[in-house]
Amino acid sequence: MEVEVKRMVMEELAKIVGGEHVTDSRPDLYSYSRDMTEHEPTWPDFVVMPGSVAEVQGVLRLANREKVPVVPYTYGDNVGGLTIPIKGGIILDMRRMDRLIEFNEEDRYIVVEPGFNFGDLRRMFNEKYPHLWYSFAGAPATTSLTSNALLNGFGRLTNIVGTNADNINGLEVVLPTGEVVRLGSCSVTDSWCNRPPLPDLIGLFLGWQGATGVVTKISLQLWPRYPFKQTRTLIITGIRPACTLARKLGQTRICEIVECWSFERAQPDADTTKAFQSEEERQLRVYTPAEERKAGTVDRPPGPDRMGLVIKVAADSEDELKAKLALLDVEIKAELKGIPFEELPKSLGPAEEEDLPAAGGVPLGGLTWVGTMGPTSRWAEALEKIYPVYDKYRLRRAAVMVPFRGGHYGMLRLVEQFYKGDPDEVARVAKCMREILNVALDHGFVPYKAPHWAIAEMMRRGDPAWVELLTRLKKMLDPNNIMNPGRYGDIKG
Amino acid sequence: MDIPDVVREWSVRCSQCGDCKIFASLFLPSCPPGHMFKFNSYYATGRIVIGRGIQEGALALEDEDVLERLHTCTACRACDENCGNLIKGHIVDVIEGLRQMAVSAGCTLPAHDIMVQSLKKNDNVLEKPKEERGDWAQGLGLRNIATDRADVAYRAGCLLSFDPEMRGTALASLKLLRAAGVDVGIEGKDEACCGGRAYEIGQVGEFIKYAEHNIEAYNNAGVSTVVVSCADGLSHFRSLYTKLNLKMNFRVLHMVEYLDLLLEEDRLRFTVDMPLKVTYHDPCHLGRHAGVYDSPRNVLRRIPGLELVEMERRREHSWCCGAGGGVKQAYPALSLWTAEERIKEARATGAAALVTSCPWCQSNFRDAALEYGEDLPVYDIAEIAAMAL
Repeated sequence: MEVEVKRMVMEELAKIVGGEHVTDSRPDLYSYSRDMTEHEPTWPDFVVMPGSVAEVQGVLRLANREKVPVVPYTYGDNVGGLTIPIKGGIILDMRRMDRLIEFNEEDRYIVVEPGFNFGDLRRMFNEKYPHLWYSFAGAPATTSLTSNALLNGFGRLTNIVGTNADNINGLEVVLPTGEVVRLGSCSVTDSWCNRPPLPDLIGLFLGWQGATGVVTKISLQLWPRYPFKQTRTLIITGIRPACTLARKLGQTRICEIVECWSFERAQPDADTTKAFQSEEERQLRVYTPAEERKAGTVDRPPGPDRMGLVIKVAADSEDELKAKLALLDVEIKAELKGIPFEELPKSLGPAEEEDLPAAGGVPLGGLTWVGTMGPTSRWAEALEKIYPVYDKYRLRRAAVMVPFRGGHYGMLRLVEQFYKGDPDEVARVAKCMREILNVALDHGFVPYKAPHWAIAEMMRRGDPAWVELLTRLKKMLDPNNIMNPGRYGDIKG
Repeated sequence: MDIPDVVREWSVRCSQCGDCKIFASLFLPSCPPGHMFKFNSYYATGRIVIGRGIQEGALALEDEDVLERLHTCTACRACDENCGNLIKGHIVDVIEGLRQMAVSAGCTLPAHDIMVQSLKKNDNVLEKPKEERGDWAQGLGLRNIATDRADVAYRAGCLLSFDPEMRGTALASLKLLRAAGVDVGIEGKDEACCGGRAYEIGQVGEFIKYAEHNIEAYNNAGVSTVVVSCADGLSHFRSLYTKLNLKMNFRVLHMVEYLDLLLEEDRLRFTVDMPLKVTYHDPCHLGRHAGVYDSPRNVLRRIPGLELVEMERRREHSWCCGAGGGVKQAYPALSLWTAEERIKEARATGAAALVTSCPWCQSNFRDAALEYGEDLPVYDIAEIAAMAL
């Protein structure tokens, strides 16, 4: 951007949002140029924090006039490099807009601004609504409810709710050209209660990673918090029996979530039979940095994979819980007949919902994934092809599989933690993730929160008519291609 | 550029997840500058990332904005309390390491330069004449440990020694110690700054000088115990001095710890009814830095008639007063805003007074009360306790 134009844009931004809410200071720009992933940082030209819908409109009108890229941003903790401003421009940090607009207890929904986060909602539940719950993700409390839902994030009620995008009743959006539009029942009534039966335009803003507009209000469904709960954790030998059991349990619809995971431990000889007394102990025993660096490359010893299966069951009454657990037992015994497995005592199991939203878990500075959604029937087949890719790059095997909405589809997430101080490790991770994406796509799994390179691969493989439609929609909504360019609608394959 | 190991190793380990921004489980703001300015660079995660930028050469310590981001941290360690990724304490260690790098590069703040010049000239950061340090104790008939033996040395610290409005805490402390029959002496005009504030603003050389001096002085005096009223002083003696590998032949207790002990041993009793509803502010240097949470509450609960009501952000999850890390001197508006946030929280409890156990906190709360027109009285625990004798 030319110096004169930059100065003029800065002055106008300051007029729109106030001088204290816009910055072009180098330490500010640098801190918004990167995230926890392996993606190359790119500097924005400005960071702007609007405080109202009118200010968002003002910023977008200015950006549209001057053709300055705009990247919507809330807390920046996504795992896909989604807010790295590939083409510079404005980071539109929405966290000042953090108001609760409506809490409708009777119809069980909430209307909030983008800065309203998981922690804010959890605090409201704790104080006033102990009977209500949300599909909280295992993510930091600062995670925006809006961003999480718009990006198809999910939480711990997946087998009931699906992704949190399925929770959306309505949106208020500022279009790239500055107009404000409401979608869902709020577009024709004063209620934000429901998304059907109107033509569903909400999809124009779901999964688009901010490439079609800036969401300024969202209505999300709330769910009951059941008084009777139980979590069971099984350790199963072998990919196939674990994946099959996870799929079957999803299909029974008795669980809030079924989570099948496999993580090679940083210290293969770490004693996993004892519970960690503290986070520090966990770090020291499993993720001790010195040990971790020794294991910067992992050569996996031969042998079958040990898979963890976490099953959470909730009920309105003790009798209902007993009945669900009995049904669970039947399924487990039937599916694991002759298969080696053990059940962990409760003390060794994972965190309960009380700990959500969750903290920590990235002690090496780097975390990335190929997160995908697809057919649960092909989990095992895909994983058997993906694990050797990890081995090839001498990285730790790590996968999570979760059935959604009664097992109709499911997540297959290939995760990697890495040490950001080692360029070789970062490079290996980048190559590994790209190779894994191709295997996942080959098996019917489609990436969500997709990095730009994953979008490019989908555009290359995708139905040309679909690619063309995406491009046309993007052009219609964002004629000057200012919204998060270099991603959906801006890559033709 | 000489990069401290802690900066080199840990500035690449921050994942920018945001855990440092709010108190886990309370879901309330934890970082004063972050909460005030909102941009990432004012949070712990932003500062650590700035450290990475400096190492990469993308950012420079000579950049005034970089210096401002590094020095608007009060070193309260709330981020360290929240972070589930870095080993506890490493966030502020990185920030202090970056400040040391800045000092080495000759990049300092004018307000901090004044503090350092004052240290060199007066042995305090307050620009007060060294000769006046012992004036607060005139007429008390206290022994000077440099010339007379005493079992316990009472250390008033800089603020209580020089600020006439703060001296009540030192006088109350002496009244309590004498009431308990403690064999106590002071250093008087020879007392010197603990050097901790110098450490926090990156002046490690100055810090070492004072650490060595103080350890030698108390070792030579042969005291068994040094009792301090300043929470900053306590944490610097306990956490920083011990890093220097110098032998300390004495233990260091904060006044509230010693009071708790004296009460437990029945050497001290409160007899006067104090019908007052108070709330207690945990100073960061006493709480998160030194792990002292129970002693002040034990003391308050022993005062007849006094009712202690807690703020939601308390103990490990306490909101900072805003005075630490050189922020009060360099960024007074941020410092006062932070204190006012705490006063509002204290008022919300229905308490008639805010009680703390650090002169820096007390002083900053009083300044903020003046600035924002608050009328909530602020006391040190020793002042309340002395009234209950």
